[in-house]
Amino acid sequence: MKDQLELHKIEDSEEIVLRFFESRIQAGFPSPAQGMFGDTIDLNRELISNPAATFCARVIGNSMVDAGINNGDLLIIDKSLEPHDGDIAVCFIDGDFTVKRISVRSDGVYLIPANKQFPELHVSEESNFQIWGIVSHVIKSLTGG
Amino acid sequence: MYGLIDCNNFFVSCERVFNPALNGRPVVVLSNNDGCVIARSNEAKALGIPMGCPAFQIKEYTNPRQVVQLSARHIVYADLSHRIMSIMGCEVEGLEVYSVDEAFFRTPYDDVEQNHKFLARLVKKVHRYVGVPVSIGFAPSRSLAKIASHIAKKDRRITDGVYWLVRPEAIDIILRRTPIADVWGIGRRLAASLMGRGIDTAYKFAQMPSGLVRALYSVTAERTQRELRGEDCQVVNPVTIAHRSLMTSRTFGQLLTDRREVQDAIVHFAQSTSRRLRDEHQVATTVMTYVRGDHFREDLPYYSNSCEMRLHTPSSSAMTIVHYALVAFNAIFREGYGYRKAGVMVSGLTPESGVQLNVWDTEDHGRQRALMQAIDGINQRYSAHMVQLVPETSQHSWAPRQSHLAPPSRTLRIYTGLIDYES
Repeated sequence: MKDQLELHKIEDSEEIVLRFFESRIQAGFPSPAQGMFGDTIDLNRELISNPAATFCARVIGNSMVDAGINNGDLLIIDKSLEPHDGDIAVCFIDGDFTVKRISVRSDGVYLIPANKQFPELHVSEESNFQIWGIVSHVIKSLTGG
Repeated sequence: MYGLIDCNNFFVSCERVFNPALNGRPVVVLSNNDGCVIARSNEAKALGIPMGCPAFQIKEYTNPRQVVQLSARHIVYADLSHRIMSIMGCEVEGLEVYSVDEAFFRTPYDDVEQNHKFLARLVKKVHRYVGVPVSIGFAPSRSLAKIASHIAKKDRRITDGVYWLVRPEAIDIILRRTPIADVWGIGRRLAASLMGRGIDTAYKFAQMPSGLVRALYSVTAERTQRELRGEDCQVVNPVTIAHRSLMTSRTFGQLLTDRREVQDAIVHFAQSTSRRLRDEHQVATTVMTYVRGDHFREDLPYYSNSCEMRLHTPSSSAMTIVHYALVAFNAIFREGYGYRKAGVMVSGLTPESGVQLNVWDTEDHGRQRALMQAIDGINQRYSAHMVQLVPETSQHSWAPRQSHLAPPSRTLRIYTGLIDYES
């Protein structure tokens, strides 16, 4: 089983401003009446801190489901971020893009899936390997739309 | 001093960003219609495939199946180019975007070593942020910076992507090795004519008596010559630059930390940029806003960022330009930093007359144009700032109440979309 990624450009020509609901939502009983509708929220600003280095990709595959990344989700990728142990990154390894958690161990770098059906991947010396960018956000649709 | 940033094998490098499997392989990008080579990877250059080579002739140089041949995707290249130029625009002064993959700028320091350190960091930053490798050359003139950037790209001993030509002895050595035809601004016919006189290197050209160059050729050729001698002659044709982008920016007298103050500056810059667009009868397709801290102050946290917006329909209307400049500003402004400089740049300029309307566009361009003409007319007649746009946002949220301020001199305030009077 192999995951794939489709990279997209971000069309940033539209300002999207939504009312931001300030009060904390208790799971199960959201009550819009409790809070004041406060400041506005601009999703571009919320999701993209560095426009020149931010790219978007759609996930195809299930290797990261336990990390909350499902088939069809949109990833916001920030290439300006330095990779750290434990980050979820878009990587390029031996000819393919993949999204995995990076694990730095004494014997080298591992790519860790978040799905027991997938194996861990050791990045060997011979691998053609590149950390393409760090996944900063996952956008998922809960209505299937 | 001037710097030139140049993207290495730009179209091929763009393709490699989205397909790293192409790294290390001979790759060519073909033009859309006639299928000629318009970009080559270093590996393809090494195989001897020349620029402009028709696709079907690649077999004369090598086994064509070894070479990855890609159709040009100019939208992708333009997107990555904008990203690179917007990073540059917020890091350096006086950016002149010269082509999709080249831009001149002024280097920030007087000291060569400091410039070198700063620019080497910038090369790294652009590569990491966008994925495209770039080279930078710097020198006392643009023509020399161009030669320096070429060396930065070609010479394998240069590992950090930066090369400078500053000391006269170094300039002499390099000019002796530079064929006259490779000098920026020396066209094919001029090169042929100079070669006919035995002037085959940039050095020999630089040594010719200036009067002779002017008499035999042109003032432009003489300017190029003076540039090779290290004089700054502004050889960039300002008309060419104007067609590509217009920038209004300013260094603030002090570090600004207040959002409102920086925003007001952005609105002001956007308005004067749109005014310049209308004066030149041009319209812009993108609007870029940048903010920058003070990189000379190492005691303070430094933040710089830029954001570029695409317009649905190319425009020169102050309302549109201000609107998009502010959307971009809101995306990048962060509280808690000091801002030393900000600016608004419009690019993708085309003549007003050739605008294609977007079918999804709901703005009434005829009315906007009439309004702009009226405003320009009033401002011309009375004073440059008689009528100004005031962003709606400055009436809300963070804006302090202004009801107790003394009324300003008679100013017509125009909000995006509606007009009211104030006296």
